[in-house]
Amino acid sequence: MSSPAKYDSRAVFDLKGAAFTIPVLSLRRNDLDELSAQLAEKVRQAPDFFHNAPVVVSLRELDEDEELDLALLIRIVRERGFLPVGITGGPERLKKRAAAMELAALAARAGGRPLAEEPEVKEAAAEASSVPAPPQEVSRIITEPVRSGQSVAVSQGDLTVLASVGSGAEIAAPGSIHVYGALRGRAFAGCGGSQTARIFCQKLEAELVAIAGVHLVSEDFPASLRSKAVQIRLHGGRLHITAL
Amino acid sequence: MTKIIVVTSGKGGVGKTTTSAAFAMGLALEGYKTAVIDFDVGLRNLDLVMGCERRVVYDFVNVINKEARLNQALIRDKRTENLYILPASQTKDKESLTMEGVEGVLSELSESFDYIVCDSPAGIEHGAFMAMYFADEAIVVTNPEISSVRDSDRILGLLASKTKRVVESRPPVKEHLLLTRYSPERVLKGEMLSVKDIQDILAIPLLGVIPESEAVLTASNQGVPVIVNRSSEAGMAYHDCVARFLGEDVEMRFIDPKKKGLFSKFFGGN
Repeated sequence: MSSPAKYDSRAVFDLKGAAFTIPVLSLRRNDLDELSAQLAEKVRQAPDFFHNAPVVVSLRELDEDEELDLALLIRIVRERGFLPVGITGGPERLKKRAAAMELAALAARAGGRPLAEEPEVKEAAAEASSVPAPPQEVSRIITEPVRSGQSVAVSQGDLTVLASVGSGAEIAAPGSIHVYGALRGRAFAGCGGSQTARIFCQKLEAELVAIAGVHLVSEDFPASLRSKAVQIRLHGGRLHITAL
Repeated sequence: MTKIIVVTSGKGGVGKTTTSAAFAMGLALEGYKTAVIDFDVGLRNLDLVMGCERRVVYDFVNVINKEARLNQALIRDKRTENLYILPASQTKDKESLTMEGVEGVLSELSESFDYIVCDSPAGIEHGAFMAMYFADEAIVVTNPEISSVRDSDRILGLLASKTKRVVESRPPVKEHLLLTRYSPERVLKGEMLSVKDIQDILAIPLLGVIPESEAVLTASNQGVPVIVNRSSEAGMAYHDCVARFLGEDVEMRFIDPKKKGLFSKFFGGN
């Protein structure tokens, strides 16, 4: 459904969805005096970074029955220079109290992003800006042979196989594929549509190779490159195989 | 500690039953108390190859269904006192092999046997799955042709992902490659895959190579495991394999073409 405002020149706004990265201050226990002191110390280390920084207060780790003074908690956070925009977790009565204080009650992340990631965000916020969050694992490395009938697909990054890929096996990655053995099965690189993905292998004996949906079957491989170490890339809508 | 060995291949007709019979007999002749089980319910063959088809009263499925006790169904081999055969049922189908039933039989056998050899049916369906599920070691029987090699590759994938050892996060099933029906002369002529080609593809340790031999068919038809025939090349090759399996260092034989005699050298025989 297209938004009518898009075509209406009188419209003064567009309503869109957007995601922002906001630090989460996750309260480990109900000790507001200590919170006040520790937060002050944290801010002292990087005053500019935290000035007017929006923050979501997570009550997820607290006991449901905990008698928490939400008003005091929010005041402490504000006094330290943060801009609390909402809370997450916590029992219904605290959510109501938050609403009365014009704070949003944010639900757990929709869309299936694992909650397990939350500690990472919390960590990043707590450790101040000097320590960046650890980079996400982007490449998967397989050390065992991929056997006939097996299918290995990664959801992000490159896929590296340190053994052979058997005839009748399949490997797939949104990025490039590297096979440090014979590639005898099928390989699909650039699964998400990436045209710059490539396939590298020590020995080209594949049944089929594909990059971003453009494929070549074994019959189309130049005879001179069969069983050779090659790279395969997509250029001008066609796959090009060159010896390494 | 009892070891459960599955003899498997994926493809049919490559020599699983011949190998099961020879291997079980070889282990028994070395003094180990051995049971060999036919998992090919509905197409039982092992009893024929072992020459005990006339003594089958109860079978594997009867034991699973508790219609007979295990020692009623086990047939003792007449040639060695250490070898027992558990035949398959010819009238039932493979679904009769329940997980609990198979596990029960194997654990009862484990109380008194050193080795349990499971003769897997061809294919990758339920029967083959049951034969491999409880295995500690696997002998993957492969012929030197590409379809057999690819099927073996598939089986190796299943051994690495679908067995009890994997499910329980124990060390994986130990895999052995056994090449059967090998003909060095045909390899030389480029008509057959070589040992090296196959090892390149499957990448598992080679237990042995059994040469193509008329003795195998004769032995099957007579109901005598070919390993008993020590004058045949196949018999000797199986004997070597059993020795290697038991940890001996035995040199590979029958992988190079036979040296031609002086006569054929002079007269240029092909």
